[in-house]
Amino acid sequence: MGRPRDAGRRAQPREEVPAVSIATSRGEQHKPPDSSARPRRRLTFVGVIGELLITLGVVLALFIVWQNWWTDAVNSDVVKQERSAVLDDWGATMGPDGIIGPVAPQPTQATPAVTPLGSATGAAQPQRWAPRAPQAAVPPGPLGASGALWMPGLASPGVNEPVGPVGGHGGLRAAVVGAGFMPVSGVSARTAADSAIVPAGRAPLPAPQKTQEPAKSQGKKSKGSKKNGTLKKPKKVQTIGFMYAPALHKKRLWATPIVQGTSDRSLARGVGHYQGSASFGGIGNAAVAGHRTTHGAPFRYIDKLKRGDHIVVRVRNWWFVYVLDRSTIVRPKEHWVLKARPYKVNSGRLITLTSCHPLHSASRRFVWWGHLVRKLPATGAPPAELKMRR
Amino acid sequence: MYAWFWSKLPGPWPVRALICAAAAAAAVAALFTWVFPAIEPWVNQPTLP
Repeated sequence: MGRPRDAGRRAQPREEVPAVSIATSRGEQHKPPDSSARPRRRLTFVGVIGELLITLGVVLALFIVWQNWWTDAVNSDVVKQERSAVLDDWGATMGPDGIIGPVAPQPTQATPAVTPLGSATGAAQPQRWAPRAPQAAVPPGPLGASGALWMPGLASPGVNEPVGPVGGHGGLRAAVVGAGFMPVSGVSARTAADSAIVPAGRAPLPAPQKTQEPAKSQGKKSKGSKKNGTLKKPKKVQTIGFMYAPALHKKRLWATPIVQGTSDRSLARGVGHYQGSASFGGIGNAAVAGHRTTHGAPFRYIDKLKRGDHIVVRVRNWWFVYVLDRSTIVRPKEHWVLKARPYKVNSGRLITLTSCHPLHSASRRFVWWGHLVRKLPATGAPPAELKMRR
Repeated sequence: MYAWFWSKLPGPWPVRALICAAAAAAAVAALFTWVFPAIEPWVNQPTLP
């Protein structure tokens, strides 16, 4: 890069010199402008190709930086946005200990004393803020007690119902457990689910929100988007709950969002709930996948989990406490691990955690299974298992 | 190519350097924001999660 600059600089004096000497000798006058006024390097095919290749190398290096460092670096922001969006939507708040408080009673449901009359938004608004102050100081128990009245039967009404019979879209291949890794396989069903589940998944535009402007609109329900007017697209990744893994998650990942689906887009925001697997707390096997590296790596230390460790899942209206039973390492396509009863256990309500196994590789999958031991209404005190290890 | 680009830039060399830096920063930002997230599913098959 230095040479052209020199050339450009020299160009001026030399041009003037010939202008003076122009009368004396013509032969000399032609040469200096030719060699100096023009940059010495001209665009040649080989030169351009070479520089493009160098550029490509730099870009690839940048990609590595981006994937291994940047996605982690921005992930806490992504997760924070995700959390606040969902909490906003739920009307819940998160205490300083990272534990999510009770959900504000919905105004449409007949109830609580707290609810003033008025429009839906008018009613929701004060409740949204009301719990915040007490939440910090007092356990959420008594506060949301009234909410229990309208609490529906089981797990997260309508929130984490499986959309289709199959797994996430193609990204799942790499991200989780192989192309065939879905409870029900079938190519046509899968592609159908692709479009159904991740309608905007192919559009190039939404991608940036993954990193740079995280979650202005993502992962929240559309009605929750009123917060700021920046909503660009309807939700793409739906957050259905939060995972607390006391043995696994330090401060940053405490209350990791659980998003629906296991596409790359989903897994960039939290742990992904396999499409078609059971609802949390429901009968069957509620399976989730998480990154082992990159994008916050919620399951980075999945191999450090131990039998008896607890996994606490919070959905809108419930706390679910699972205890881990056993682990295994399988090949990516061994999707039997997602079956409703993949191992002998005296419980019908299971959870499965999957992640890639050799760290920085994807040749195997690390799998943990557990079963539900307790289920608590979100209006009450959070489970005692929720003790973050610092 | 880059030399040619440099020669097309206006101003003395500090100005050119600034312009180059800005262009490079913009390119990196564009890569991080749009390009890499878009190509990630295709690039990282063997090693991702």
